[in-house]
Amino acid sequence: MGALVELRNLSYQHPDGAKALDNISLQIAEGESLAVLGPNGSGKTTLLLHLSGILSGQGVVRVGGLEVLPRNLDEIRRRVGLVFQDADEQLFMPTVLEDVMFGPLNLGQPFQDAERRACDVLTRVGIGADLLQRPPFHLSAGEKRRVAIAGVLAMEPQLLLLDEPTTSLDPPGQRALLELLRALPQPKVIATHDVHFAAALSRRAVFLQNGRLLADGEIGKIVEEFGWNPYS
Amino acid sequence: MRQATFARWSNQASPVHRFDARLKLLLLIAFVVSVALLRSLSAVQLGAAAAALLATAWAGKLPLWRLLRASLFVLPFVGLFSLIVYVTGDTRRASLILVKSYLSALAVLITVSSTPLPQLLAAARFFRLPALLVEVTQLIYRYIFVLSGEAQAMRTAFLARGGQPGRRAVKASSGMIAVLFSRSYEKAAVIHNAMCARGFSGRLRTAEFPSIPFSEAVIALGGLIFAAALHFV
Amino acid sequence: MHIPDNFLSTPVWATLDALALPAVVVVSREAQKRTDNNRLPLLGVMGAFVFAAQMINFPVGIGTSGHLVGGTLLACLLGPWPAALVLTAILMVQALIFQDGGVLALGANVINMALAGVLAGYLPARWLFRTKWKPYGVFAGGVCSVLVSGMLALAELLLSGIRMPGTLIEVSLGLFTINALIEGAITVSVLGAIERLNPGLALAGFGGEKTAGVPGAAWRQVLAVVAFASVTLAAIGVLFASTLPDGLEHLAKKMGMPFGHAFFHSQLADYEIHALGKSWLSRASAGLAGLLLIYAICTLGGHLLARARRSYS
Repeated sequence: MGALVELRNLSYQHPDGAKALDNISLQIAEGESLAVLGPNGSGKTTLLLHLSGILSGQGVVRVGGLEVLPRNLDEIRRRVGLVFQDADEQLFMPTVLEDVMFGPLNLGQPFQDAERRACDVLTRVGIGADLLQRPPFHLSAGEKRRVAIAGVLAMEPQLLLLDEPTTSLDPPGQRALLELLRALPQPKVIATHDVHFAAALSRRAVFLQNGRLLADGEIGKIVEEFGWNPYS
Repeated sequence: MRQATFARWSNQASPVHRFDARLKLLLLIAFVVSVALLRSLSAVQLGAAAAALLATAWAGKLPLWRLLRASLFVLPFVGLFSLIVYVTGDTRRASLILVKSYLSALAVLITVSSTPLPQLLAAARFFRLPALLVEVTQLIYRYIFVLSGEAQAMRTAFLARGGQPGRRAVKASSGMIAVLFSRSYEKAAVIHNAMCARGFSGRLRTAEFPSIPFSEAVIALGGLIFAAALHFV
Repeated sequence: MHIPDNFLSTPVWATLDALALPAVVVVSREAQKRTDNNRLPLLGVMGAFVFAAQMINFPVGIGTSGHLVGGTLLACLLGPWPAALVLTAILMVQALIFQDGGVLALGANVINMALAGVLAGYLPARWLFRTKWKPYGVFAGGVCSVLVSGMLALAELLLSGIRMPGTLIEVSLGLFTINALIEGAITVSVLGAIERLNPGLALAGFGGEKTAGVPGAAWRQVLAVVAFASVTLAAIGVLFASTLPDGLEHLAKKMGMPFGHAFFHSQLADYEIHALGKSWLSRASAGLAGLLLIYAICTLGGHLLARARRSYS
């Protein structure tokens, strides 16, 4: 079929019994981006965690033809990059450079190569050389977001997942992030409340509620159908 | 976190900042040990020690006055002990303790101001401090300020809602800590997910040290000799 | 309670550093065994949490406010070995970044607080864990943890030749006791609040201990308790001896000889007159009563808070 992402009847229950995902089926073609909309607690983040292999439930999840199973996890993590909502929780290493090197080092790269790749990626996302040795808590929200993206890009993923990427960003920060993401070739799956941001990056959207996929189509239509535009 | 503000100086560029962290750690220990072993402090010794410290601070482009003032913060607590010693009649020992403590505090402050803590930890790791301890310490240092910020925000919110220090505050404080714990626990879960998402395998691999330039080795040797010579001045 | 540099005599701090280093290696190894990959972030975050929690004040009236030390809390949440490791890490950060405690004195502080303190906090809580006296065990743990750390620190200072008059030692012990009771109260209160928010996590340090199936584990625990008790008793011995003129010299002469009836008799006789004066006793009792009252208020308050929270969610 050639679909980049395939979900068939994906269901997941939290350890305390609450149903987080309910029979989700969905396909994403090569080169196609997708917005994931829905109320808080509808399962958007959980869906992303399944796509990156961090959680596993019932049903089939396939990325690039490879099924997400324990034996494939290393490869899945190489192919799928997940940018978490709170950049502070993603930047856990002492300096910016070390954090971006974390992925490549775990992939088995020798030190010098990992360092070179990290520097390249950081330049690409617009982080200057003067920030490389900074500890993450000295960065602004926008810079942290970009470093987090860099850390993910350093693993050269085929698919980018972003969980509420505009959190804590001021309008210029949002604009800069939009330009950055537009320039990246990878298809993106963006879980967000920011409908305009999503529409600028993707034509297609799905709407989740209570773990169920209620609609799948053109983003403008979905927004109108569910009244998901905050200002009209 | 007033006491930790000078740590921001640790990211500047200077010869002292560039100096190999392992050597800096060795020199710090040597200096503090040397001071600790002194049973008396002549004016010459005091002058030499102070001069060495100030010269290092100057070479590190550190704010001298700020450092000297910050080192004074050690004194109230130390002073209490020192007072006890004084009261027991050992005047000499009391004043000696005060001066030595000030010198040691200044030395530690200069070291930490010119070396990011993660580098110092990596140096300690080089000297065989257990890996798990080093990694946990790095993570603690990474998240102290984040969590303290949250604790501070909670306290501010409490005060903004008319919270008065007093009896009722006690149960509110327990509640705040419990909420802080919940958030911390969830944070740890997300951090773990973020680590796994980028292939975490159990060890946090850190930078390897470059080889030590000859000039730095010479300076370090000089420093060690100075620390020993302090006793014979 | 963090001993600064330049107070302990060289034999004392050097010996303690020498003892602490292999101890830290052992603690690391044991903690590693009980720490899967997914616990590493938890250990780090818990350490940062204790730091942040120490910023929150508990006004206990009479113009003072206490704060959490955290050894017992960590032991209940993580288990004794990871707790000791985390506390060691905390002490290192405190010494280097916050100038709280000396660099050479790290060995002493680690032994006093991260090792002895955690053990003293863990054991009472552990023993009463499966009984209905669980909160009392935690309270006792908090009290013992601070008391033991304080006594060890005091003993080390006295051994270093700092001659403190008997009254000063009593005052210090009194202060330690007050702090210990505060710590016990806060630990119980906080642990209770955590349990209500996150059932199952509050005493996670006791469940699923992997030592259960390990041969020789029971002996090692007994050995640990015996060693620990001996050290504590030795510290108490030093404290007693220090209140007497030439007490320490006397003690040194007696070392190596079995403690006889005459030894105890002579030591206690003088100390009795010194310490057990009526005013001291009545003051101490009043303080104790006040603190027990505060403990009761804390526990009740924590309970009420959790109920209020539930009614809002």
